[in-house]
Amino acid sequence: MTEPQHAHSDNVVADVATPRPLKRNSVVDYLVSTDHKQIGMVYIVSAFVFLLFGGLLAMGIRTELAEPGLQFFGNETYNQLFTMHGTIMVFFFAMPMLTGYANVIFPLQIGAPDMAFPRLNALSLWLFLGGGLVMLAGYVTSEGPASFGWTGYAPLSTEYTGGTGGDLWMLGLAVSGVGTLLSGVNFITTIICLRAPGMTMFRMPIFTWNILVTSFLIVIVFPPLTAALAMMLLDRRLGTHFYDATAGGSPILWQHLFWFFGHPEVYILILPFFGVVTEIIPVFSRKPVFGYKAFVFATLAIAAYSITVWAHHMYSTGGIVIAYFSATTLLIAVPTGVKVFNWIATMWRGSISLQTPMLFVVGFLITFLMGGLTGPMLAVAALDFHLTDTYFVVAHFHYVMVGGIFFAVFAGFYFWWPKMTGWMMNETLGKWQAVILFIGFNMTFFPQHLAGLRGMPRRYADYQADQGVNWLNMVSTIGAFVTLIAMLLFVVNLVVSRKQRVPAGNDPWGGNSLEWTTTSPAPHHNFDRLPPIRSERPAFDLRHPELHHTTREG
Amino acid sequence: MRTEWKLFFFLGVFMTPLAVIYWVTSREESGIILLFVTAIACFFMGLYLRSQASKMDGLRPEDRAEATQADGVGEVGTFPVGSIWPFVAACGVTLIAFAITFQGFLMIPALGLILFAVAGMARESSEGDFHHEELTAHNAPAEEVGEFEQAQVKK
Repeated sequence: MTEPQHAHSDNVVADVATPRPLKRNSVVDYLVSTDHKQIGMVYIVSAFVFLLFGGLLAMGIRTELAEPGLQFFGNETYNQLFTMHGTIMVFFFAMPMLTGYANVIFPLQIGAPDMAFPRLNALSLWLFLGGGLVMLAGYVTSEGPASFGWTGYAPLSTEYTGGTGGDLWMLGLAVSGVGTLLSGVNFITTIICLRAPGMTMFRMPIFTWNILVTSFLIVIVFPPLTAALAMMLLDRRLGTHFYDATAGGSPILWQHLFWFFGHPEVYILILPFFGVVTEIIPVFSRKPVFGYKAFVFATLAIAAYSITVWAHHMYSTGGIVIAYFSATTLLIAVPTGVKVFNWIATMWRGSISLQTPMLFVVGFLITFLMGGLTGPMLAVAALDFHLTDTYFVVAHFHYVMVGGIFFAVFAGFYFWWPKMTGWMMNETLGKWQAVILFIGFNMTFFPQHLAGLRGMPRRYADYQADQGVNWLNMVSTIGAFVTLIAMLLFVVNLVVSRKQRVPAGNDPWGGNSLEWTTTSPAPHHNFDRLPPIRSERPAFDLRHPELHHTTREG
Repeated sequence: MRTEWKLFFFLGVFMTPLAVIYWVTSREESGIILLFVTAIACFFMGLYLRSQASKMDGLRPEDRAEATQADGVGEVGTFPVGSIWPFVAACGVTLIAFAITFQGFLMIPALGLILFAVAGMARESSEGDFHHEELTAHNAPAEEVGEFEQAQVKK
């Protein structure tokens, strides 16, 4: 394909003659839908609902911690607050957000008509929502929901916390975990089997690559979690002794199994959003992505290392070989550094336009880098023993997760929302949201580093007034309310933009990957016709046939 | 398929020495098992994909850098237009969770729902509201492509 006038001669028309038998957009249509775009939208919308709920719980935590002493909640209620906050944010906001983006975007990016197993995809969605329902059912039980922290350490969760809330926590995670596992299988199969002709592996967009690698991780680590949860449930309900040290069991076994899931889980959450950022930066820098293959291999290396670092959460148990986990944890910073380098190199001397998605990406780069830098600090055992279970760890975790995921979620939202719905989000409100979120986020979490260094432990409803952390906590709480304003701005933006309905057209940003060559929103089975794929930027090649020169061998 | 099976092999090759080092240094059972099983599972998937690749004659269109869309002509696959059974099955699974925690007798309707859904999914026919449609890609004559473009402009 060297001559541009051939671009239209060998097009393929997918057979879209069969009309959908049911009316679009009715509730029933969503219940029976096996269309990946509709399923993805349900994921994204429900993830935002869970985000608002989890955010409210976080506001409760920060309000209680604004001043020393117990003002609003009792100890047990506080325990429930941070447990449900962590669980909901990790399992019911970030996970469905990534499956939602993956569902809507990556089949479009590889030119697939749908997922390889559309009905399995629908099953994943309903299992996730069912699991969420089971989890939230803890709020209607007499003892309230689970209160042993989102890590559920034994024996606290097995012997010292009764009540059905804990059981519902385990079952909810297991049910939605099975859904996620099925999603992972589905994603891998789709990427291996349903790519368009000419879309070789090394022409896939980085987002699709990261979804593939993430799916590997999902398939590897979710079964151990389900097994660990099942054993814990047996311990609680039937009196088995898997995690009971007094009867020959081992509470450390839970930590091993949980963190063997839990640490790759962090990368399961962050890798797709690395992909989102990698999609956005070249578009708004007007440059091809710097070091495509380095991105791919860095992603693979991060995934492989992430499986071997789990016990760096367990230094203080004394039951692990610290040298092994310290070494692997320090090593994993190398491929992550490669990525940060490549992002900056992509922006370097590009023609950068700071529209809303790019503004969020810049926020992402700053916050994620800061969170990433405290990671190697915590990997050094001498420092980690000092800081374990203090607010320093909380700050590190939130800089990586909130900085990494939150900013990238909104960047991706503003970037792909026109593709999903056909109308644009309001730019002015979006930019205000980005700036306020950045200020609020840093105000909330930066003081927590300092509080942690001064020895403030996490997961307590109270702290001593003479500990020197009073003003730090006050600043942190004010920051949380600033973040809340940013969230409200986002809701306002949704309402305003929905009213304005500024049409987006096929390609509002001048995108690179295949999804920008179809209509917004994409038709049933995605493409009326596919353009030729000759590089990792087929949409760019279509717009600029005169510049066409890139070819990658697969 | 070459890249695909190599990916799984890469993960397996990567995990094996790390598993051995972990075994030698820590002698802690759960981690050893988890790491070795991970490595074996990766090799297993790689071998499966490799055997599938060797059964194909030549490369698939999506594996060839110079393939045109016309090379993908033919049956893409069969896709359901819609299906209620995933929802019913998930309702059953959710009900099982409630049966374990609240009322044991809920297990009976839960299992019933799941069996109902599995049977429904298996028997889902190629006719009626929820039939599967066969998706084929074919070469469009030039004037038809023009019509599609016009139709898109009108939208």
